[in-house]
Amino acid sequence: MRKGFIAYIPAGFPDLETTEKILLSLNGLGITGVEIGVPFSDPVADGPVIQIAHKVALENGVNLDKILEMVSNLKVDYDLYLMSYLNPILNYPAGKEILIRRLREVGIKGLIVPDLPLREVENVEIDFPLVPFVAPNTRESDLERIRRVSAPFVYYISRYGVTGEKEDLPFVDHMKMVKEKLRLPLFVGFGISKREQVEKVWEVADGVIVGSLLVRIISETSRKEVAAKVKEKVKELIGDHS
Amino acid sequence: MKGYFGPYGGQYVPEILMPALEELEKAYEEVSRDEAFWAEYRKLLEDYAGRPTPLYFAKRLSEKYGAKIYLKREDLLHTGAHKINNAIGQVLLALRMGKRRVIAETGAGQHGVATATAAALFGLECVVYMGEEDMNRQRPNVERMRLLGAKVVPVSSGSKTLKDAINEALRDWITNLPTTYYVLGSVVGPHPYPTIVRDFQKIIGEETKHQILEKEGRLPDYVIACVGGGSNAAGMFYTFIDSGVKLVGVEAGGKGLETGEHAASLLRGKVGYLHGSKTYVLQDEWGQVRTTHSVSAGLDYSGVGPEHAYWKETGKVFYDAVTDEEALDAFLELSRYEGIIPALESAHALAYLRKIEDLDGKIVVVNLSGRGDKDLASVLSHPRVRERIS
Repeated sequence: MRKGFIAYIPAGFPDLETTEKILLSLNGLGITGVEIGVPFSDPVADGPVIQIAHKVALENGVNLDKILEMVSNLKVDYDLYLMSYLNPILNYPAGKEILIRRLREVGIKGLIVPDLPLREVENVEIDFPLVPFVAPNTRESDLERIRRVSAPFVYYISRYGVTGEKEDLPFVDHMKMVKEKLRLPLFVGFGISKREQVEKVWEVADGVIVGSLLVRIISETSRKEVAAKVKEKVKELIGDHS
Repeated sequence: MKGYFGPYGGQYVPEILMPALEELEKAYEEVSRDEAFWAEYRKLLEDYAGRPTPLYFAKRLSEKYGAKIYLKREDLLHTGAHKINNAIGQVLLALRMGKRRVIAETGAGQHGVATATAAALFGLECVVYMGEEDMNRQRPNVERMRLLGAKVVPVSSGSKTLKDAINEALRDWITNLPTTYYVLGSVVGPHPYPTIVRDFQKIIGEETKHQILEKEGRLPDYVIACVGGGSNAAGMFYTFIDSGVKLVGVEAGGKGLETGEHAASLLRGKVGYLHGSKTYVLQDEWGQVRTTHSVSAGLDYSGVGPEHAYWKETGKVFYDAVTDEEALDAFLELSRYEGIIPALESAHALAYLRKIEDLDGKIVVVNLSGRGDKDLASVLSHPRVRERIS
């Protein structure tokens, strides 16, 4: 059985040209999408591996305009999402309305904002599809709010903690409940790094999101080989033996 | 709106923290109405921490400035700063919530020491996150925390100061929610922290009001406090808001506001989102949080409490800044005129005395938020001070 797969790729790590090569290498695999990570100075929801990616990208002078410029020329056969902390979005130099127009122009399908919980969504007025996070401890009353954010899918945080690679997969029952209640595609992230975990998640949800593992591979591989290595790992995770 | 001060505040944190904030809010609402809780808090502050602190008439300083200058002596509290007021309050709250592990961030180390102290008092496990740069410049406090049984974790990410220590403490909390209580040290962070911390600090202003009425028979003309995150200022100002007293919050001007090397979030920041709060944040044009500079580790922070943002916007408090050098001059001045070595943070509030133009005959209260022992190494190595010590 083959289900959804979303990769998290931090923009500008180790540099934007390499990011573009990685994104292009993921064509033809049938993956659902890629979350492009916008670097932020204070990535509070991220573990050490992704923190370094944020830091390097900022040192490289990467910003939203450079990322959107790269995306606007990109031809990929999967959906693109932008993952950014709240402050760079709401303090975009030309204003958030212009940013949202740009996101539409370059074909971004949704925004993923790790420090924007469901209860604050209505206070920031972002007129763009938002991917809501649901955690194992999210209250049922808050799930109702998801109906108001025109969500392309739901990002299920599969454990307590920040991003990083882990072994087990808890909270299967809660995932099933959430999926039944929301009737939206459910993608599970945080800590997924093994083919077996992917299969387990596929049994209960619509897809997986893999981040830290890929970012670690990017950090350990030379620029020349990194796109091929990331592609190889994604193929392994989705069970593509071609 | 609940959780907001005007448009500022809120809960801009990862979804996974929301139930924990709700649990905290409920627990705090319960103890708010519980007389026994506050009686225990006050008793500990009296018998253990040393409240009430004196409101001291600084005679020689008053003569020098031609005003009546009073110092609220939070520096005389156990552990040497106002931070103990909040640490005791929050550790009592943690106990009510059944948490046996407390974590904290610290900048100057005073909040870390206060939390380690309160944790030792109740036999709780304590972990303190501290930026590597702050560990170097506030060495004695690191040693005190370790002596008190706390684990001090160096934070090497970002600017290696308070903002990064808060990030790391939040990451720990996200990971260890069921067992852990996060003792936030200032009026920053997501709701309900800015309210909780202010409530545990407002005793400073309440005592001051009572004391000045007793000594002078009227309210002061000015009340001055330094502002980093803003907890001593919030605790001092809260009672005096809308009372006609001129309230002045003094930010860290570092090497000068025009140099960009400072920590004056309210004066030079832009409204943004940091550590769970909508507030003034020092940031670049792309919304990246800027690193800050101050000779005082406790004021070296890119954000500021959301209630201060609200007080600034509504004009209830006036905010200004003094430079590193002005603060160092005030540090020496108080040492030599009154025999009191102030914390570098508090020295910023003292330095503002020179900036008040109509000081003549006025009654002024300066919040002396902490004592300066912890700062000796960094002060003595500063050329501005070294050349004036025989």
